[in-house]
Amino acid sequence: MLDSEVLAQLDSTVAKAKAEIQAVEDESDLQQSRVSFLGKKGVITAFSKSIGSLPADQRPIAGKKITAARTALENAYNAKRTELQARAVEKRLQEERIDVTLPGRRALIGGPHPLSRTIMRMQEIFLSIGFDIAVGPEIEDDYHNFEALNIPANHPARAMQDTFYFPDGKLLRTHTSPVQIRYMETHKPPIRVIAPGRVYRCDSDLTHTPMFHQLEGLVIDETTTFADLKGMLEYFIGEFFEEQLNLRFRPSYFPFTEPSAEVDISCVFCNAEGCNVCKQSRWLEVLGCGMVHPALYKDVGIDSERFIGYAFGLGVERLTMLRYGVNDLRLFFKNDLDMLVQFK
Amino acid sequence: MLVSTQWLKEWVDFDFEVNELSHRLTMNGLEVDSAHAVTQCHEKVVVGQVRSIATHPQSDRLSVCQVDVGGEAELQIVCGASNVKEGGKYPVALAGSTIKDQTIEHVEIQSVFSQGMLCSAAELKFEVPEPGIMELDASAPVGFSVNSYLLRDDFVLDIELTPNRADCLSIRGVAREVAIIAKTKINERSKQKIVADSDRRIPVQIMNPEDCPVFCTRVIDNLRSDAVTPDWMKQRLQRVGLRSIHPIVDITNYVMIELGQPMHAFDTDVINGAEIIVRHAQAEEQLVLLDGEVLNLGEGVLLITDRNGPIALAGVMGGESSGIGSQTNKIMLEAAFFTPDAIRKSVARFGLHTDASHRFERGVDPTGQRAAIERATELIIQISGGVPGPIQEINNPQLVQTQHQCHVRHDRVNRVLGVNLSCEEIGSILRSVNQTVTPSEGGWDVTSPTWRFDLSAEHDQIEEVARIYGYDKIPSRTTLQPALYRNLSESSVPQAELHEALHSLGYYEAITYSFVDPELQSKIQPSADSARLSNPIAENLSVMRCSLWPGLVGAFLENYRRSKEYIRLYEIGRVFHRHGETNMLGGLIHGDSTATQWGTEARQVDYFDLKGDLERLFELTGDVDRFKFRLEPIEGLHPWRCASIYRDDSRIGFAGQLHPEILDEVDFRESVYVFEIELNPLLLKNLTNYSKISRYPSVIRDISLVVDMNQPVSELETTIRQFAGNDLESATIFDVYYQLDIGNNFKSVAYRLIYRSNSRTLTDVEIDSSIENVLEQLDNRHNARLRV
Repeated sequence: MLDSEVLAQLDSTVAKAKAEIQAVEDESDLQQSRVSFLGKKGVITAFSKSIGSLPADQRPIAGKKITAARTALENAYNAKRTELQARAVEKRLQEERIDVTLPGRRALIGGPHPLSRTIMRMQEIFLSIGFDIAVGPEIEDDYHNFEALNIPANHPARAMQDTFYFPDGKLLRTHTSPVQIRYMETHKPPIRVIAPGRVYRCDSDLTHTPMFHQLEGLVIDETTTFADLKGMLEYFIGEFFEEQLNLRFRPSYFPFTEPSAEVDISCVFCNAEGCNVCKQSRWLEVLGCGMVHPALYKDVGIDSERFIGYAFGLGVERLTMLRYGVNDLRLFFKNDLDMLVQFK
Repeated sequence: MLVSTQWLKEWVDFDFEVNELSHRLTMNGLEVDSAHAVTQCHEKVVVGQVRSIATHPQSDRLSVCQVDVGGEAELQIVCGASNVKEGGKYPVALAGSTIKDQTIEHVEIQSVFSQGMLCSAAELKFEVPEPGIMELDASAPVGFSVNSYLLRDDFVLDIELTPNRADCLSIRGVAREVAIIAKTKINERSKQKIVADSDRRIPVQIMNPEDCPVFCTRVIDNLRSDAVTPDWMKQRLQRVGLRSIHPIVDITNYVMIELGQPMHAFDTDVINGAEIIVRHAQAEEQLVLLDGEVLNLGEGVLLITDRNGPIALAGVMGGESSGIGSQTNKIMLEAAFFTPDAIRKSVARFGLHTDASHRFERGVDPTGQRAAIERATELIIQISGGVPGPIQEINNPQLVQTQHQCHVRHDRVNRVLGVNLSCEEIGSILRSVNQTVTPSEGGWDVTSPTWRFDLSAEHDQIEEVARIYGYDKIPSRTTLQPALYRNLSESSVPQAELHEALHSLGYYEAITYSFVDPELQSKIQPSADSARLSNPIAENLSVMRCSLWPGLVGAFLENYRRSKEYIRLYEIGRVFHRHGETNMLGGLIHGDSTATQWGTEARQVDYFDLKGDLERLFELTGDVDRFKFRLEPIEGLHPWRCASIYRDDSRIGFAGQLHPEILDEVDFRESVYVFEIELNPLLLKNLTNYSKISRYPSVIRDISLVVDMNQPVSELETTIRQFAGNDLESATIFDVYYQLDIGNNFKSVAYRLIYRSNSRTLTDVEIDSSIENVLEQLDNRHNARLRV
């Protein structure tokens, strides 16, 4: 056998194998091809076996060439296999493609009533500055709702609050102020407490519902002043609206506080430029407050010389409407899901 | 209280423009709700006098008037009004003026030349229009602008007075406040004393001086019957919301508005027995009021009577019999001080609110009666003529405190207000509100004026200092006050956590009225013993709720009608029973179990969704095992799909399917599930006590039991736990199966038992023996057999 002939055959075998590798599409065909060339009975192996028949001086050269051919093919097979494996993974992944724009699966969630949300926010603000929370009965007696608050029978201030009565003389509390009395009956100063809750008045029209919510506040200490009341409410309103709004304190009258004040905030809807909500006045009335009237201390045994207190009453519906732009009070008690979902 | 600024200016000099005035009054405690400019007519509308009237040649309904408007020549004006009279004075719109957006020009009306227009009040856009053209006083100055003549360059302030400021229920009262603001004094009228021209008087007896300490009267005879209320007075009364009725009535109203003292005038011709007695009503007495209403008086009501009986409800309203009419020519004026309590009684009893009662209830100046009579007399003589008799005054000064004195401490003022005002500042403020102020030991002795009975104690004076000094000038102090420490106990579940758990379960919070429809409530709960309001706002809001369900069902229906397919609502609130109020949590679910979405099978909610939600809430307490459900009949619920909820041995709530017959309009197959549970037990939190985690492997065994259809599974679990031994870690139902292959009356329940020891690896033998024991007990106690 001539060298050149053998070598030419080897070259063409390698070329043939490479062409096969190139063409193969899956791993088992590749393995078959590998066996047919590099296996024990493979074509390249046959070349190795034929080395023995060569003249001794040609064997090393032939051996090197054959080894080189084998190595080259092995590399080619390995590379192809890696490529095919990668392609298979790629294919499987492709098959697992999903439409990521489909909506996610989930349970629906609910949410708080806007008035609850407001009460909870108010509580958080007051709790963070050391207030306690108190509650009282909604069916009240005349004493706690009126008498103890310095509103004797037939007082015109009673006409300010249309009261729901029961046949036994009890009534639905018209404000959260009776909780002040009940708290003072059981706690000694210093006192710092809020009392949120439902209140009732016999009134129903566009801007009144027979039930609504108030949050009462009471602070009694030795050094309390009207200036502290102003500071406290400015702080609260700033926190609640997350905005430093102007507050306007103007003299008013409540039988259970003196001095008494109504507090207006600069209109949040028009930036105090005048709009329909504030009736062009640039101010919105949000709460009533004042220094605790000494008459309230008598029955509960607090020394009005030593202790001075202030109290305030916030309208929850009013603040909720202002905070979220709700324009109809009566919506709050219809519990329409189309409204409730907006307060998740 | 309506106030005309032009009237006010007669009483006090100020030059604030109206917005500034409103603002200053508001900041002084007289809240000005609105300030409206009085409408004015065109400046070329003048007072004209009709000199002669001729009939229109072509129309019976029209007249041709020659009108003097102060110019050189009279104008010819065609007029269609039937009340036009020769010599009468009327507003005349001259050529070039505008009436109702139409320019008045010289025109021909059915071929008669017309040089202007005689106007009605409506055409001038004045308040209280009367039919026909507007008749002006005979004294109206011809050619004068109607706006100036009727003083229409004016504003009306609507002041919302607080009940303590009765002293401001008059022009004079508001003027006093303006004077404080303007740092001036009011223009007090010189005290008129009208000399009696006759000595006629009607004797008065006061039977109840404690209710009527001051009573002043004066008889005026020979009144002109043709008197009319002058334009200026009509205008002022209209601006403060009063209609002109009769000159005498108008004058008493005018004095009330001007001075704050309500007055009444009686026709003396109809006073029987020529005697006035002020007394309490006797049982079964009646009075016909001026407005025709018949009152059954009842004992204790204060009356003004004559010998025959009541002629007025004192301080509230006069009677029909003694009222002023067109024939009246002799009157008795009355001005009294009735105590607030006496008048409040009448007001409360009859629900009558009048301008007079409004003032008496809040208190009038106890020294102002005589002056009011004098002022009214002066006006009557001016307008209606007449011969005044002497003023008769019954006064019991010991029964009414006219002035209050108190001591005001300098340091107390500063301590309450948080200010540092000087002696001079406080002293001058106290004086500025018409008080007598004398310095004395560390402060002042202050005597309040007779009209400020709201200033009786030191704290009243402190408020007065704050008010006049200006609330806006008092500083705001935010220095922290001494810390007060609150305990934040971990032994209760924060309510916010409960709310959040409900929200994550898909519930929206509802807030429903605490009073409900008695019909719906008794349909749900026939035995409900609910408190009924004496004065409900409507029948469907007339009883206090005994359960949160009526409200939730109402809210449900509201949404159901709006075709909501996924409804979960909850409410936290009080329910009311005979012995008190309990805070409850109530819930309602209906419709789809999840939102409409792809990849999830749609199904309707059922009892077990509701129960699962409740168990999620019980988890919050860390004590879920203490809550149990037991089948018990419950009003309003499906008899076989309802449970009482127990915490240990006390029943704290109910859950189940709303009885299908309760809601007619909801399809029977569409079920509504509800629960209601006491709030407090839900908020008791068990403090976590850590138990060691076992290092040993667990062993899992599944057992499938066949039991009677009606066997409550909760009992099976109790038995399993009782007899499986200490190493049973959990027993969980993973399948419940009702099929014919196990028989009609049976169900199959499959449990997964997990065993694990804290100290060693459990052997198969141990587990087998435990299971054997459990099965034996299940068989003995519940006839449960292993499913093969």
